[in-house]
Amino acid sequence: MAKVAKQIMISGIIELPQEEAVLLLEAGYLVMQMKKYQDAFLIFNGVADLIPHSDVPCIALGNLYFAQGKFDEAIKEHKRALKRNPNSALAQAQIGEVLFFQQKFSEGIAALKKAIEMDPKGLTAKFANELLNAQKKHFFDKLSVQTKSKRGK
Amino acid sequence: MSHPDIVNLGQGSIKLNVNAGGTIKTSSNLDFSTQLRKVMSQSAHLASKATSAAAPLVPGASVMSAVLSDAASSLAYPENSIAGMGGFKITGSGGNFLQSFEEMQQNMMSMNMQMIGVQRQFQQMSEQYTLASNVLKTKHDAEKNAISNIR
Repeated sequence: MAKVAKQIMISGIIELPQEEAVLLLEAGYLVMQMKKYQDAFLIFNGVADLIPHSDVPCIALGNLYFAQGKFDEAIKEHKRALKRNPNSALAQAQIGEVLFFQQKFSEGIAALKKAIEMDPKGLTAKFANELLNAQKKHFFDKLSVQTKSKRGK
Repeated sequence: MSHPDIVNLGQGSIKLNVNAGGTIKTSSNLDFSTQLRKVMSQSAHLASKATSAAAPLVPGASVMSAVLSDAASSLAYPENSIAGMGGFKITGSGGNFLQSFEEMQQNMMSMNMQMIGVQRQFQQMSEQYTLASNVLKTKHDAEKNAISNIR
């Protein structure tokens, strides 16, 4: 007889199967990549309301603002994620990334170092290390000039 | 009657000229030199045509084509050239081989410099691309991990 995997339920404002939450968030990211930002916002915001204790939908919202170049709003969402889960290394690393794009390098480095301390062996630490490496090689200096010139047009 | 400078070597028809000094004798028959010049002129003309055809594709080919064209015209009209210089003009207006050669060298040098610049630029772009690629990959992995472990 085939084994049926036990469904993990997330207890938010209603009981929600984990699979469905994952599906919704992945759909939101796909829609975001299609540049349908309003639709992506509705999905992420809906999931954030459904699971009020999770940091992940807030990080997704932060990424959505970041993709639109709204850096201040992105930082607000990542900070909301940190309020929900103070141990969220990913939210901390995302703050560092946004700060680099805002040319706030010393603050960004501090945020990323904190993220590495939170989860030194995880995937987030790898992400933070790559960001630090890119910053060392002045990757974000040139990127900011390009972004500014694009906005100017 | 036998010539005083020519020695007969035995019974055969082989004769050796033993005159060490005296005047240099030149052949009055110029057919060979004319033919040679003609052939060289034609081949230079042909090479000039080939290089001019390749000029848009090969760096420096346009200069080479001009030089070969000059050489072909010099060989075709030897009265314009100085004797002993193989038919190439040294001075005068129009095509100037040495000047063209120097020009070609200068062009090649500047092209090499340009090439080095382009290579450096390409290397920088490649480095930037690698950095961006690594950042995006690790970000994607971290986010995917966070989503699949949502509780």
